Amino acid sequence: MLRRLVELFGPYKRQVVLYVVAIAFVSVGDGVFTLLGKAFVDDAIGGRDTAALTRIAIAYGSLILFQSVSVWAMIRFAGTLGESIGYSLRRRAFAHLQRLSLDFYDRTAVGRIVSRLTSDTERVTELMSWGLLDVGWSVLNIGAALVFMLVIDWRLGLIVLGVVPPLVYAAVRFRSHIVDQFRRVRALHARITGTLNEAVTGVRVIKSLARENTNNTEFSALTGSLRDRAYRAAYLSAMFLPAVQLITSLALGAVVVLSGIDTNLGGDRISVGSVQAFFGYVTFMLWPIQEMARVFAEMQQSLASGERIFSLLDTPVLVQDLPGASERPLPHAALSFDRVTFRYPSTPAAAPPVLDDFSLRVEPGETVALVGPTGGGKSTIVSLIARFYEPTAGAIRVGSPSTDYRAFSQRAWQARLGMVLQSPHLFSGTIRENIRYGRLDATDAELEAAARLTGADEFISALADGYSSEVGEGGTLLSVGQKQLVSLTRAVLVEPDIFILDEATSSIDSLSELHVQRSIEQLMEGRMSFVIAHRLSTVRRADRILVIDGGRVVESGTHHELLATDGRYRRLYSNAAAPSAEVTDSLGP
Amino acid sequence: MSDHAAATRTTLALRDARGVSALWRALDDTRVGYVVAVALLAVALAARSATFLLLRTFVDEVLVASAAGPVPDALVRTWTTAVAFVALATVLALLTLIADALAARAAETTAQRIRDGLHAHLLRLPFAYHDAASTGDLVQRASSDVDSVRRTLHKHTIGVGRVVLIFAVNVATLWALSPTLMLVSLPGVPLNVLLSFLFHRRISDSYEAMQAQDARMTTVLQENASGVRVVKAFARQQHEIEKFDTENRARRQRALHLVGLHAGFWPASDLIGGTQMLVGLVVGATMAIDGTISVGTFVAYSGLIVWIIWPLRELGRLVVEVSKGAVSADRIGAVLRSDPELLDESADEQAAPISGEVSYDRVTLRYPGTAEDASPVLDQVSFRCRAGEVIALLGHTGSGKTSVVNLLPRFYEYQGGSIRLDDRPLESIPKHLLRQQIGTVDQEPLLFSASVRDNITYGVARSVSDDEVEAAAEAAAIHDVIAELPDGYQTIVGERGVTLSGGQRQRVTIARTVLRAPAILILDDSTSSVDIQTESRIWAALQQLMEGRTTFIIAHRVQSLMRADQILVMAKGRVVQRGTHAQLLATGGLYRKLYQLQVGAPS
Ligand SMILES: Nc1ncnc2c1ncn2[C@@H]1O[C@H](COP(=O)(O)OP(=O)(O)OP(=O)(O)O)[C@@H](O)[C@H]1O
Ligand SMILES: Nc1ncnc2c1ncn2[C@@H]1O[C@H](COP(=O)(O)OP(=O)(O)OP(=O)(O)O)[C@@H](O)[C@H]1O
Ligand SMILES: [Mg+2]
Ligand SMILES: [Mg+2]
Repeated sequence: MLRRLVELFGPYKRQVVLYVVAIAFVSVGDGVFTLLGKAFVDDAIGGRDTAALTRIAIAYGSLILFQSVSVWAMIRFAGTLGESIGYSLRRRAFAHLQRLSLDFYDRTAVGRIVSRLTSDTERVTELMSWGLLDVGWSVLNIGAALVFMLVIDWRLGLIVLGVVPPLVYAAVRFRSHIVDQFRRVRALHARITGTLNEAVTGVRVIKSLARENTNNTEFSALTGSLRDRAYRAAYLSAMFLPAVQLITSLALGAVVVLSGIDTNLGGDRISVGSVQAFFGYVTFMLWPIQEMARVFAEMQQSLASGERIFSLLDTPVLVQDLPGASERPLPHAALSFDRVTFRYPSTPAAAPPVLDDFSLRVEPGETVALVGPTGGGKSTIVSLIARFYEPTAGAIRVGSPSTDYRAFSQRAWQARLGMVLQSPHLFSGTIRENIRYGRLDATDAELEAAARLTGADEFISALADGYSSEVGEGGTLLSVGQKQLVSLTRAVLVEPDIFILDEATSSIDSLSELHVQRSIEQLMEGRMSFVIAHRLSTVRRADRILVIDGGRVVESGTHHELLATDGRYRRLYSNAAAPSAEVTDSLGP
Repeated sequence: MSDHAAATRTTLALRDARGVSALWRALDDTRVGYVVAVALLAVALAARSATFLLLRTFVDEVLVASAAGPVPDALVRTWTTAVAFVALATVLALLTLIADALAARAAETTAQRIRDGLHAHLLRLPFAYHDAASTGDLVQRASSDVDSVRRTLHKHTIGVGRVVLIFAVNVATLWALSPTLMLVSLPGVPLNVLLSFLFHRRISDSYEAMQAQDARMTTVLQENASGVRVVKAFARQQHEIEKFDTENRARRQRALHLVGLHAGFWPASDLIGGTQMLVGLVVGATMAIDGTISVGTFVAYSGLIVWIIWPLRELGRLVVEVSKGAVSADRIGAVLRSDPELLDESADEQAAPISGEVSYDRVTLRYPGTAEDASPVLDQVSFRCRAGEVIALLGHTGSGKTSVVNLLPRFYEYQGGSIRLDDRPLESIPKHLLRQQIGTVDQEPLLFSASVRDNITYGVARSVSDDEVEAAAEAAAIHDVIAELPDGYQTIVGERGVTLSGGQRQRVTIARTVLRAPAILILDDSTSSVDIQTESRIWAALQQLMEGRTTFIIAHRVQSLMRADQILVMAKGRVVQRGTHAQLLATGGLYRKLYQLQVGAPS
């Protein structure tokens, strides 16, 4: 863990060195200031020496200039280092997120993912830039101060030396305790943010259920315990500084006593300047001690954040290209499920698989319709084709001699799919941007041609801003059917080898659907297509209809063949058609 | 419920006031603790200054004096000094602790009030507001901006009080030591204050720019993660990586700008402070050499001067922090300034049950934000129905079906015509009451990442028995499916219910509405992802619930709605046909065409 954090410095070795040097300069410089203060008292005032005063003043002035430059460098390097590391961590994590397969997204809330790349990254880079700076500065500062004190007067120095290490130790221990409190605060915080996120995403549901009051009460309970915890943590941490101050004041008291006794006994007299310097050093030492304790204590949290980021980076990618996966375009060949068994990675291994020993062969150019009861596994089948997931056992093969579809890179494979998902998702932005997502280099004319083909053009051109209309987050500004039309257009624009339409027209009226169907049929000509629908008018014209139930093909055939056999399909269909008989009767001849 | 009232006052303060005054007013009654804290700090700081005077006396009367000859009670004085020293430190420590605790209490209490008030406000903002807003942005305001305000109240505002006091007390002490020394120690002050104000503007602008960029980057991330299936389906990973990288890079750029400002500010302020210190020390030393001041005075002075220079530089930082807090308060205020819906929750008691007679009279609707001259979404829509009837809507995509039913619970405000419920103007019925009695199954089912049971019981305030939950699930034809899930009703569905199939999600939301048993039922395309057999099971089960309840059904499958008492066929925001199934079939037109298409009859 620590090693991996240190590795992050890798590309910035030179900066790290400069940064450490700057810190060293600043902390030693701070100590020298106090030393010069002593010189003011002992050499200039004590010796009544104006020439010495000038010399000391010049030294002091140069030190100020030197310090300014060092401080500038220190902030500059710490900041640059932090931002560079943060940038590259986020970049790496995002790239990994793009590789991760859907099982990860099934079990990870979006909010979690976001906080990995925002607050967790922030905390790690904070530790590695400002945190290290503070610790480095503190350690060097205390070290330099101790050395100077020992040089000035070794007995007083030893007193302070006796106090400092235990003080630092106690401070760190106490701080850790405080940090533990803050960790709980943070956990509550995360829950509150999660709740807020759900409240905003689900606000329409909450409002329509008139559930505001209940939500407010639940939320208040959370914020109430946050307040209490946060107060406790704040109180504990407010004890910290005064406690340290109190202990150092004991050390100062000792300095007073010792110097008084010394003077009195006429022994090895301590100069006034030295007493002053001791006061200066010890008083100032509060800050480095405090900083050090803070950083060490927060380090646990930052390390935990680091751990979370690395665990994201280490999350195995379930769907992986086989070594030497080809980028070749897909062959115009049959696709077959070869005894595929599939269980969602998120479900327990003991649960029955969604697909069990499932076999299917689809010829090139064939249009296959999948129908059947909900939860039967239709979407699962097409998710496997799209390689959102891969079979738990068995294989999906292409062509003959058949090759495992994993022999193609995911990119090559997925780039050739035109897919409409069951829940149409649009990105915030304009309609044009959303359609263009299908083919980034498409011209406006191509894009609009695709929209005309699906019939989306009709409603888009009626909008005030046409193709430049914003769709709103997730497409809320459009009706559901319009969203489906846009996502359909997006898929059409791909001019894919394989069409996958998962209830792509379920919220579209039958007339528009007919229009869509007719135009898409031309497009589907010669391409393999999978169509899932519950409306029989959607699936009737498919080359082959498969009735899927419980993860198996229970019936298969054309519309007419299936109607001829007394099975599920006929029952569904006749059920659907029955009222027509009834009504036709009532209408009379 | 004084907590609630306080939360309201705090949100009002943030809504009405700007900047720092908003922060101050948001403190509300916790201000008392705040003021006491500052007063205690003043005493504490006086105690600290006293230690310097103590030091001076010790140096002059013990250390220096004994150089000239033995001081009679030197030992006693030494001990007294040491003890007094520790005693003063104790006072300082205790008072600081109490002051900090008081400030923390005030800040945490206020933060809670803001959180609660903002949350309540978010839930009250109308649909139209949420349509235009971005989730990430709202959540950021409600979490990190609130936190920034909290931090400002806890540390920074009181910090300003602290440094001003430190400065004042020490200037006074200095005056007591030597007025000349005091005067030579001050010229740097205005310079440093000026510097920090100059920088504070730029730093807070730069900070704001970085926050804004951070938000943009987060939005890309959030959109990417929520649309991951689309990203993968179109193999757009590289495109997304580039998009993110652009924002990530810009964020780094902004952050580095901020670092640059800090790197400019601190050394500059050090330079001024250092020079000031040097001047003071040189003058002090010269005076001590002349004998104008004692050595003890000089020692005390060199200890004190840090406490004059440090506060000013700290003041710069604090002013920046406070202004960040004020920016956050404004960002929260911006949300609060948007008008919420009036829900009239208090009206619950006099609630007369709604019987469900509905009439729309030439209702016209335009969504907010659409152009005035664009054709309206609903154009003169009229219909009426008796209590307990079933009204079906069907028609083209985007013809306004959802919009029609969304007006009934008053999710949106319409512009023309009138809607009456139970022969009362819709507007006369409190929204809260109205929504309690109307149950909507949304066109796009949304589940929360909680257990299936919690999702079903989400809409009812009372505690519900397992039997009731199961009965509702039966009615939605989903009980068997749930029973087979790994943990049954306790199974957690993924975010937005991703681990369920489309039809399963839809049925869980149906069960959610069934359990509420509302007076008016709205089913918006709620069986679109359900196969026909399951659908007829649902309808059969719902029949019982629909008995005596006015029900609106939107569907594209004619089979789903042909039993309705009245069918409205919509096109382009108008009702183009109306009647029963039989009447409409006889009339011909759009309805018959749709019907024939669906049953496969030749057209
Ligand atoms: N991501 C997932 N993780 C775990 N289980 C899942 C996931 N997606 C679907 N399931 C389960 O797998 C089964 C098959 O779901 P699938 O979505 O394939 O059904 P479907 O036939 O498409 O149904 P519908 O017609 O309702 O869309 C269901 O029982 C569902 O609960
Ligand atoms: N929140 C909104 N803000 C702005 N415009 C909207 C909003 N919701 C819908 N619209 C627009 O209003 C029109 C009617 O939409 P509505 O959702 O009522 O259609 P619908 O008949 O329900 O269609 P569908 O069958 O596709 O669900 C559409 O053109 C749509 O783009
Ligand atoms: Mg499905
Ligand atoms: Mg709709």
